[in-house]
Amino acid sequence: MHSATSTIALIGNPNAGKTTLFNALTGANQKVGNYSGVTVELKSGEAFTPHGKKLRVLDLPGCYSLRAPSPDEKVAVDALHGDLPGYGKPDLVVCVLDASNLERHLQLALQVIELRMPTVIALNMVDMAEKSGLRLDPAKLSEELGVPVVPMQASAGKGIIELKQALRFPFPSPPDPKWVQDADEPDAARRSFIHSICELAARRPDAHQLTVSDKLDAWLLHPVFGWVAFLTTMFTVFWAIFSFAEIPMGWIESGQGALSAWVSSLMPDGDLRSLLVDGVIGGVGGVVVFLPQIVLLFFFIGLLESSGYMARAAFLMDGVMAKAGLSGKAFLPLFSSYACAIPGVMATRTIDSAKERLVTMFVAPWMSCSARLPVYFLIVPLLLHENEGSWKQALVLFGIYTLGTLSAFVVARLLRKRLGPDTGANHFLLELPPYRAPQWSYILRHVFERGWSFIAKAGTIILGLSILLWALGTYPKSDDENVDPLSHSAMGRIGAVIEPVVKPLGFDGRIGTAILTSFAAREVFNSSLAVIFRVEEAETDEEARGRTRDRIAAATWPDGAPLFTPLTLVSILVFFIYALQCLPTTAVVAREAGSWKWALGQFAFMSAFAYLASLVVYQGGRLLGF
Amino acid sequence: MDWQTFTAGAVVAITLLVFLVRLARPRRKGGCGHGCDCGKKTR
Amino acid sequence: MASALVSDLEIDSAMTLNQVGVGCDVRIRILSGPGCDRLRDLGFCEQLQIRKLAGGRNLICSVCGTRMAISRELAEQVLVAPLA
Repeated sequence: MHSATSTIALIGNPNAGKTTLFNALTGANQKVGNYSGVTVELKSGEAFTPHGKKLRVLDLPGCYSLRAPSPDEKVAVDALHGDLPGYGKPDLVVCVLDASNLERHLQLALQVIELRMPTVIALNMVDMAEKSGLRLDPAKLSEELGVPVVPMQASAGKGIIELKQALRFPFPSPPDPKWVQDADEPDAARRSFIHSICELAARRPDAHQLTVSDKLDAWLLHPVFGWVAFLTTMFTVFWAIFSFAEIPMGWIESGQGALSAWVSSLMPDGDLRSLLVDGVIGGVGGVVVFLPQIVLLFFFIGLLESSGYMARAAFLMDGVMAKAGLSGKAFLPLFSSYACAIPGVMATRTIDSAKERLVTMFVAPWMSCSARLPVYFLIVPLLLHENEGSWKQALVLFGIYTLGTLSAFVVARLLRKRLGPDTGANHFLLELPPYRAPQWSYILRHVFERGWSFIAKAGTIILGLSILLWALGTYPKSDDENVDPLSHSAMGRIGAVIEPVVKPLGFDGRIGTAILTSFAAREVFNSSLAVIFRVEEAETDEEARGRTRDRIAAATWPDGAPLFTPLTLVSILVFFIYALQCLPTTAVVAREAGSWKWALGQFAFMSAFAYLASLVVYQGGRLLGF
Repeated sequence: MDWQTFTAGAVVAITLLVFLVRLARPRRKGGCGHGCDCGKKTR
Repeated sequence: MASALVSDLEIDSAMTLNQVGVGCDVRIRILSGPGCDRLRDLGFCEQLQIRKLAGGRNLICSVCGTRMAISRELAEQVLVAPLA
C-alpha cells in the first residue's frame, strides 16, 4: 500500500541510548560514548521491520527540551519539524527515555507528544532502573501518555524486536495529550502530570542513595586528588602507548625489511626497483609502522569515553578552562580533537555560547591529533637514546601534548577577550552519568574501524604521494656520477629554494621539502624523509637498507655537521605542534563557523605561529649553547 | 630507456592523473573522507 | 496580587542552593533568574526534592537519581527550603 520508505526519528535526552539503539536497529557502528555531546549531527540509516518493510532511521543529537538553546539541540528540533534541508518531516518519532530517570526525561517526551505526530516511547536501560530498585509499570505509562511504550535494553539488544513490532504498519495514530487541555501554563501542567505519572508508574524507593559511582566520584572529583588521578591517567595512557607498541612495531619493521629484500631480489637495479622499494615500501612503510600506536590511542580513548569518566574530566577542567575564557563544556570537543580535529570542531555544537564556540573551534587544531603521531614517534626516539626507558619517551610526548594544550588555552583567552562578552547568559550545566563497564564489543569494533581507515589512508593518499615524491626525488637525472642525484632532481631544486627560508629554523632544504609535503597530510613527512634520505648506492646487502630512523640519524649538512641535532629535532616537533596542516579541518571550520574568513585566518595565524615558534626555539637554543 | 624506467614512469603518470582527477571532481562531498567518525556515509 | 506578595516573601526568606550545606536534602521552592528555563529542562523543578552532594565553584546535586553538576551562578538562582 505504501511504497515510499517511512522515516522514523530517534529523539531523547543525551545519554538515553539513542545511538546505541540506532546501531542496533540499522547495524551501523556510529560513535557511542557515556557523556553528553557525542552525537552532534543527524545520522541516517536503514532498518527493516519483521514484516520486511523498509524504514529510514534518523539518529538525532540529544536534547533536553524542544526549546533548543545549543546548536546541536537545534538540529534535533529542526529535524522533528521537517526543517532540515534534505530531510522531510519524520513519519514517526521514537522517544528514547532512560527508565531510571523518568521524572527528568518525561519532560521532553511530553513536549514531543504535544507535537501530535505518531510517537512510540522506547523505555531504555530498564536493567539499570531495576537494579536501583525502581518499580516500573510500562502498561500504566502507556495508558497515561496515550502512546505505545516499549521497555528495552538497547545495549544488550533486548526489546529491539518488540520495538520493531510497535513500528509495524500502520503506524500508531497521533496522540492526544490530555494534560495540556484546559491548562493556562503548559510548563506547570506538564510538571504536575509527570509528578502524578511517576507516582503511579515509576516508584522510586530512595532518591539519594549513595551509589558506587558516588563513592568513586568522592575521589575522582576531589579538588586535589581528582587532578592527581586525571594527570596520572593521562600519563599512564601515553606510557602504555609507547611501551605496548614496541613489539608490534618491531614486527612491522621486519616485515617491511623482508618485503624490500624480496622485491629487490626480483629485478636488477633500476628505476622500477627503486620506485617499489624506496618509494612505495619505504614511503608507505614509514607511516604504517605506527599502526600499533594509533590502535592503542583509540583503544584508550574508547575506554575513557565508554566508562563515563569524560564527564568527570570536563567537570575538573572547568576551573582551568574558565581561566582560558572557556567553560568545561569546551573540554569534550577539545578532547575529541586529540583523535581528529574534525569531529572535535563539530562537537562544539554542544556549546551554547556562539563566541565560546568560535574560540574553541579556533584552538582545537592545537590538540595534537592522531595524524601527528607518526611524526612524533619518529622524532621523539631520536631525541633520546633508544636504550632509555619508555617512561622518558612518554614524558616527552606528554610534554608535547601539554605544550599544545596550554598554548591553546592562552590563545583562547586572548581571543575570547577580543570577541567581547556574551549577549546571553550561559552557565555550566553537566550531567554526570553513572560509571559503566566498558562495552568491549563496541570499543573493539570502533578501534578496528579506525585502524582500518588509517591503513586505507596509507594505501591510497600516502601511497600516491610517496610515488610522486619518489619521482620528484629521482628525476631529472644527471649522467655525471659526481653529482648528488638528489640535488639534481626536482625535489632537490625545490629544496635549494626553500633552504634559505627554513635554515633559521634549523632545517636544511631536504627537511624543508619534507615539511612542505606534510601540508598535504602530516604523515607524509615520514614518507618524504624515507624517500629523501634513502641510501643512494646500489645495495646488495639488504641489512644496509636500515630503518628511516638510522638513515636520518646519520644525515649531515654539506660541511659534515650532523643534521638532526637535538635542537633541530625539537624545532621540528614544535613546528608540527603548531602548524595547521589539514585542509579538511579548515573546510569544516569554515562550515561550522559560517565564515571562510575565520577558517583562513586560523590557517594563516597557525602557519605563522609555527614558523615563529620554531624560529624562537632554534635560535634561542643556539644562543643558550645547545 | 629501459623497461624499468618506462614502467616506473607509467606508474608515476597514472598516479598523477588519479590525483588531478580527484582534485577536480571530489568524489565525496562533506566529510573528510578518511574515517574520522563524522558519520558521513556516501549514499 | 496576594500570590505575588506570597511569592515575594518566599523569595526573601528562602536560601539559595549555594548556602545549603553539603549532604543536605532540600526542596526547591522557586527558580528565579535568567537560567531558570535551562534548569527546568534539566530537571530542577519547583517542589522537587534534591540533595546537595558537593559545593564550591561547581556544585553536584542528586536530582531524581541523576548526578548533575551546575555552576555557582546557576545555583544562586535556585531557591530552596531545607526538609525538616
